[in-house]
Amino acid sequence: MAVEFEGQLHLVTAKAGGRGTSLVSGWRPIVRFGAAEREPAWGVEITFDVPATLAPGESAAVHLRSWAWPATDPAPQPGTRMFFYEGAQMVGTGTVR
Amino acid sequence: MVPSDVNYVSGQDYVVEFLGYRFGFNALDFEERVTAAAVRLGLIGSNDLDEEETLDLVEIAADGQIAEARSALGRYLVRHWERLALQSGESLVYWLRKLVFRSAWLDHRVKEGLLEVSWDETSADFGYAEPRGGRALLELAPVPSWHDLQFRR
Repeated sequence: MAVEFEGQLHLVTAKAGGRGTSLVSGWRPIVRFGAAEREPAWGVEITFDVPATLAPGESAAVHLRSWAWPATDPAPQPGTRMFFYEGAQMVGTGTVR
Repeated sequence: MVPSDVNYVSGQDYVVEFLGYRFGFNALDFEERVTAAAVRLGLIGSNDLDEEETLDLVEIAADGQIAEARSALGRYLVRHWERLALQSGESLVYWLRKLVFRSAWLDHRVKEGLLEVSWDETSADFGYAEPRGGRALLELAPVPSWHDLQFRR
């Protein structure tokens, strides 16, 4: 089952351990909800209209779609913290809106 | 801020938080859900636990550890914790809490009329289904297994 929701995304700077390059709409990182080490990670597609590219250190309002969300689980509530990863590297943070 | 009507509340003896929700449980409700979760994960073979076994299991789910085991089940959990705590990268404590949350969420949806309980001929068990006739939902949510490390009396 897919789940879709809106959120605010902030890309961590390269200096703070984040990406070194900008990204475009359609980015597919993995996301964890909450900071607990054992929280499962979910694949998520992130789309946005503005800006055209998002650089490390910048923030944007984004649309999130997770395509393998358990049908038995609710969508995350507004205000829930999100942490975005590329592999083991945390490259972004955010909040469900 | 989460509206109160989306949160399941049967008491305030135990609180479980997931995905921005905050569910409160009375002691008996929490005990029954933790026991059911342990059966589903394969940690125990049935929900036929005595009071001391139940208290040990609840302590693991609530506190993530057992200070002083009261039962054979509790002593088994303490003695083999290094193997039990993580199975194929999955946390036992996390999944006990997760399934408690999930069961309460589904029951809450039934109460709101957004899901209904139906009999599944294939599995010969009750499951949750959408009122409009969708598939039984529980089949869509696999859980990790502790069957190989199941407690046996």
